[in-house]
Amino acid sequence: MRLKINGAACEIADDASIAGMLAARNLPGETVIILLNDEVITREKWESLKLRSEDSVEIVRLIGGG
Amino acid sequence: MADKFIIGGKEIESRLFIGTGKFVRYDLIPQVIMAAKAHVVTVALRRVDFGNPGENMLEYLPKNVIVMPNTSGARDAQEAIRIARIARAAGCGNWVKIEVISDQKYLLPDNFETLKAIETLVKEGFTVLPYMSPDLMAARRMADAGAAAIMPLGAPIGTNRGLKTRELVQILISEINLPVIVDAGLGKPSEAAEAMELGAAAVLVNTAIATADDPILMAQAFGEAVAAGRKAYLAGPGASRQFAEASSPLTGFLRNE
Repeated sequence: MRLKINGAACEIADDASIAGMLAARNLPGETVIILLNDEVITREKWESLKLRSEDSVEIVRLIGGG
Repeated sequence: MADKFIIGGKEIESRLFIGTGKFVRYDLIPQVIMAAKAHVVTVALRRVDFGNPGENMLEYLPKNVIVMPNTSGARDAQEAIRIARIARAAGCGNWVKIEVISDQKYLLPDNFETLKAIETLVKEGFTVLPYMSPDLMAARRMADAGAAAIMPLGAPIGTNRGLKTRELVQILISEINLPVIVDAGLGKPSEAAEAMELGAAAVLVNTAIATADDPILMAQAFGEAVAAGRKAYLAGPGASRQFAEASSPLTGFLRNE
């Protein structure tokens, strides 16, 4: 199915999960914040939450800043 | 009587806030925080760059510091509000530094949009510290809207030019009944001390420390300067004069008349 990850259109498997998305990109869970359609999704839902076509996923993190 | 520094009901142990941007290595940050004896540090939120994800900087922040996310990247109030909500939902606590900038040349903050963001975020229970351009009316409105402090710039971000806004900051310190924290542009410890001598409650320093040849030593210098400046302010400096006034009486000289 098609959805957006960090603003870019992506094609992913229909049964893909957020956990799978992070694993595919080698991103440890503790280091990222996940937004699905502008809502923060906490870690315990990353395996089970069903993604839908046209969803917008943001994978963000805290970095150095002034 | 102890010189307490309280923001949003919380006692802050250091009048030097540290920004965590621009460090060549994250592992410098905990050493800098320790050298400066800092208590509040700022961080930013960005999308993960999948090609170059980098390390998790949170691992480098000591457990006892207050982590204050900024809303850098926000070009208007709505974007700032969104970033603040995301940071809090992700576990960052209630503090937020509002930074709304659409001027890319000088990175000067947009006081008008900043005020709008304060109004919303205060109602949602945030402890709001707005980065702002030192304008008295804007500061008054921000204070009335419930900001926990006012953070006027000393000079544009990253310029290391010092307290260029000295006169206006002095007015804010005199007229606004909130901690005034000079944020941005301070390039040397003496400039931080200057802000503190005027009566600033604190300063926020990032570039001057992160880009020094020895950031840890520079952080220590800034920490000492901020403490010295605060003591000078509390000690009540003597007046400055145009003409000299001798240190000892002008009588009893050891000389033949």
